[in-house]
Amino acid sequence: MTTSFFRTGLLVLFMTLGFQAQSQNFSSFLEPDVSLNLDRPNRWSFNFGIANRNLIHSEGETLFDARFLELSHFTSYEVGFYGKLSLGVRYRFNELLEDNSADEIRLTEQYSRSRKYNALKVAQRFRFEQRFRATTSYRTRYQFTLELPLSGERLDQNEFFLVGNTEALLSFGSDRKPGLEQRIGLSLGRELAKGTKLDMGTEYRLANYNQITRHELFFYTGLNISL
Amino acid sequence: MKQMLLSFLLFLPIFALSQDKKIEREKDIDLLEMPKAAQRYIQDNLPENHRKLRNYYETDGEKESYESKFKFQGNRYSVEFNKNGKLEDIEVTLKKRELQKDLLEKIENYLETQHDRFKIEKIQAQYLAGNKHTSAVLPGGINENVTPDNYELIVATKNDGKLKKFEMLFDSDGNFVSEREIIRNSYDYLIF
Repeated sequence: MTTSFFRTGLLVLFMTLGFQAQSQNFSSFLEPDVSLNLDRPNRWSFNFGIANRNLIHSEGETLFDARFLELSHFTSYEVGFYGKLSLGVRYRFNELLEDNSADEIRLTEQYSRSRKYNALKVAQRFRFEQRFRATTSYRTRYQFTLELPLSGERLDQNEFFLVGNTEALLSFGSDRKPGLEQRIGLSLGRELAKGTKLDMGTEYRLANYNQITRHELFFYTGLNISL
Repeated sequence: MKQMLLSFLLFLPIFALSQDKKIEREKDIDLLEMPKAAQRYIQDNLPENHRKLRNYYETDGEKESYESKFKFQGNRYSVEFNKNGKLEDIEVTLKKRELQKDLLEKIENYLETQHDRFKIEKIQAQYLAGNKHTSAVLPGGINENVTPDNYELIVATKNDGKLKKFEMLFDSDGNFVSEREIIRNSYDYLIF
C-alpha cells in the first residue's frame, strides 16, 4: 500500500510538472517555514510560525524574488475527542521585501478534526479567514490530509513519512467576483527526534479557476517542533 | 540584509541534526527475515483466503518481538512472536457489535464509573499461546466456541475536560485487569 501510494504521488507530481512546463500564467515559489507547537496539559495548545515566500519562476523567467516574511500564531482549544477550535492571527511583511504591496493582517477561525486509523493519520480542517489589506477580502477553505509512515505502522524516530493533502478555497470580497482555487500537495517528512519533524514537498495550486486561471507550484521545506 | 535573512530561513530546517540514539523502533520486514519458528508457524497456519499479510520487527530498546498482521473474513489478525520466533499470542480486532452484549455492557459500565466521558477506539480479542486457544483460532479463524483469554481495548477518556488515551486489559468475563497510558498522537503539524 505504501509503495503504490508513493508511486501514485510521484506520478501525479511529474504529470503536474510536465503540464506546468507548457502552460501560461505559471509561477513557482519556494517557501521555507519553521513552526513551534506547545501542547499544554489542559485543553489549550499554541502554535507559532515563521515563513518566507520567494518567487523563483514566472512566465518562463527564472528569478529569485522575495515576496514576504510572515509571522503567525494560533491558539487552540480541544473540543470532543478529536476536534480543535482555533483562532489565528497572521502578519505578512510585504513592504519589507516588496515595494508595491502593503502589509497584510489575517484573522483565521478554524475547526479541525484529526484521528489515526491503524497506520493512517487523517486530518481535516475548516477555515474562515479575513484578510485585511488595501481592501478586505474573505476566504473559506477546507483541507483534507493523509499521513502514512513509510516504515511499519508507527512513526518512530529517524523514520520517513509521506503526507498528501488537497484543499478547496473560495475567496470573495466587495471589490471582486468570488474566486475558486484547488490545491494538491505531496511531501516527504522525517522524524528527526521525538517531537521534531522535517519535511520537504510540493504543492500545485489551480488558482482562480472559475475566472482567469493561474497555475502555481510551491516547493516547501518545513521544520516543526512540538513541545 | 535581505539576502542574509532569506538564506537563513531557507536553510534553517537543514541545520536541525538528527540524533542517532534510538529507543523504540518498529519496521516492516520480509517473512524470510523472521525467526525460522515464526516463519514455520505462519506458513502452516495462515488462512487460505487471507489478505494484506505484513510482517513487523519491533523493539522497545530491550525487548524484541516479531508480528505478522493480515486480514481474514473481515477481521484484522495480529500474530505476535518473541525474539526466538515462539508464538506469544494472537489478537483479533473486533467491532463493537461482534462482542457479546452483556460483556460490552459490563466493560462500558466500568468505564462509566471511572471516567466523565469515554470512547472505545479499538477492541482486540486476545488468545494466549499455550492453552490450545491459538490452535482453535488459526487457521480456521475466530469462532464462538473459543472464548478469548482477554480483551485489549484502546480507550480515549475525558476527565475534567482533558483527553487521555489508554490501552486497557479486561479478562474474558469483562473484569478490568490493567491499563497503561498511551502517548497521544500530535496532529498540529498537519493542521497548521
